[in-house]
Amino acid sequence: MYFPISGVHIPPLELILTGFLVGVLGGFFGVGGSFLAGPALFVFGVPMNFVVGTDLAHLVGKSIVAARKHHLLGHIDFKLGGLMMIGTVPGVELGAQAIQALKRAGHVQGVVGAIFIAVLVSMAGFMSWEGWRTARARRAGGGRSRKGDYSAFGSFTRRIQRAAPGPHLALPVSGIERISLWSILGVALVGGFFSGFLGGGAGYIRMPSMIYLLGIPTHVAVGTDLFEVIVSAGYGTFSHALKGNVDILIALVMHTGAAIGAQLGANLTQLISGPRIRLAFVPLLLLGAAMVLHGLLGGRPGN
Amino acid sequence: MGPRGMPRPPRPTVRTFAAEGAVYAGLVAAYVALVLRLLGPWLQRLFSHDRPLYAVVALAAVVIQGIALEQLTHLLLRLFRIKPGS
Repeated sequence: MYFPISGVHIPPLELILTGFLVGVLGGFFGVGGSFLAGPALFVFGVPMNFVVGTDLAHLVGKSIVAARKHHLLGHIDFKLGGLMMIGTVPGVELGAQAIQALKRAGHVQGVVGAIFIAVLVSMAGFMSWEGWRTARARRAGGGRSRKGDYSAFGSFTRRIQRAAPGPHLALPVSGIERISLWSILGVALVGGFFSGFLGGGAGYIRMPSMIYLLGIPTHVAVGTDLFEVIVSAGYGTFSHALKGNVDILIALVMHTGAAIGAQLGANLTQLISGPRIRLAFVPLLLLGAAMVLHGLLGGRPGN
Repeated sequence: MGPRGMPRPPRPTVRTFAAEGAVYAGLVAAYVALVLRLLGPWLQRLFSHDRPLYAVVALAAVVIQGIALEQLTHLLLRLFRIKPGS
C-alpha cells in the first residue's frame, strides 16, 4: 500500500500487526511503546522525521482506547492525572530544549542514544531487584501494600512521602491518604522531560516512578499513565503535524491494529497481579535498550 | 463475591477476547479498504497546502478513530450479548 504523504510503500498487514503488538504492550503496561514502534516504522522505510511524529499520532489513538478500558475498570486516578499535567507540559518543553542544545553542539544522536540505553537498563535492573525482593517478602508474609498490591520498596516510598514538603493532599482512588503535591509535580516534570528528550510518551519512566516514588498501586499507575500519554502525545502530534512530520494515514492504519491490542492488553491486567506486571515489564525495557544499541552500532537510529 | 463481601470485578474470558478480535478484524479490513482510499488524496492535499488545518484534522482523525472503534466494539459486543471486559 502506498502512503503518499511520506512517500513510502508498506504492506498494511505488517503495519497493523506492528500496531497490534505495540497496542498489547501499551494496554498491559501503560506505556506508549514508542521505543519499539519507532524502530519498526524506520525498518519499514519511513523517514526518521515522520517516524517520530507518526508514532506520536498513533500513540494518541491507542492510548484513548486503552485508557477508556482502564477507566471502565476503575484504574484511572483523574485527580492525580490532572495534577500531573501541570508538571508534564513544562517537562516536555525542557526536554525539547535540551535536544535543541545537543543539536547545536552536534552530539544529539550519540548522547540521546546513550542516555536512552542507560535509563532503560537502569530501570530494568531496579525493577528486577524490586521484583525479587517483593517475591521474597510475600513468601515471608510481609510487604503488603495498598489495594492488595505488593512492593518491597513500600517503606522507601513512605519515607519519601514523609520527607516531602507540603502542601499535602489525598488521592482516594489510589488509596493514598496523604501525599506531597511537590512529589507529584516532580515525577510529572521528569516524565515530561524524558518525553520531550527521548520522544514518545515516556511511560517507561513515568509508570515505575508513580509506583515506586508516589506509592500508586500498579493497576492505577498503568491506567493513569495512559491518561497522561494522551495529553503529552496529543500535544506532540499537533506540534509535529505543523512541522510536516506526521503521516496520518500510516498512523490510522497502524492504530486499527493497536486498538485491538490495547483492549486485549488492558483486559489482561485483570488476570495478573501488580508485581508480575512489573516483572514482565523488565524484558521489554531490555529489548528497547538492545534496539537502540543496535541502531547506534549499525547506523540505523533505534529511537 | 470477593474478599470482605465486596463484589469481585468481572474477569475477561477467552470468548470475549475472540469476539473482540473478530469484530476488529472485520472493521480493520473494511476501514483500510474503503475509508483510507477515500481520505488519502484529500489528506495529502491538506498536508501540501494547508499545514495548520492538516495538524487539526490529523489530531481529530486519530482521536475520533480511537473513540469510534472502541464505541463500535462495545455496541457490537452488546448485540452479541457479551458484556465488554467480562
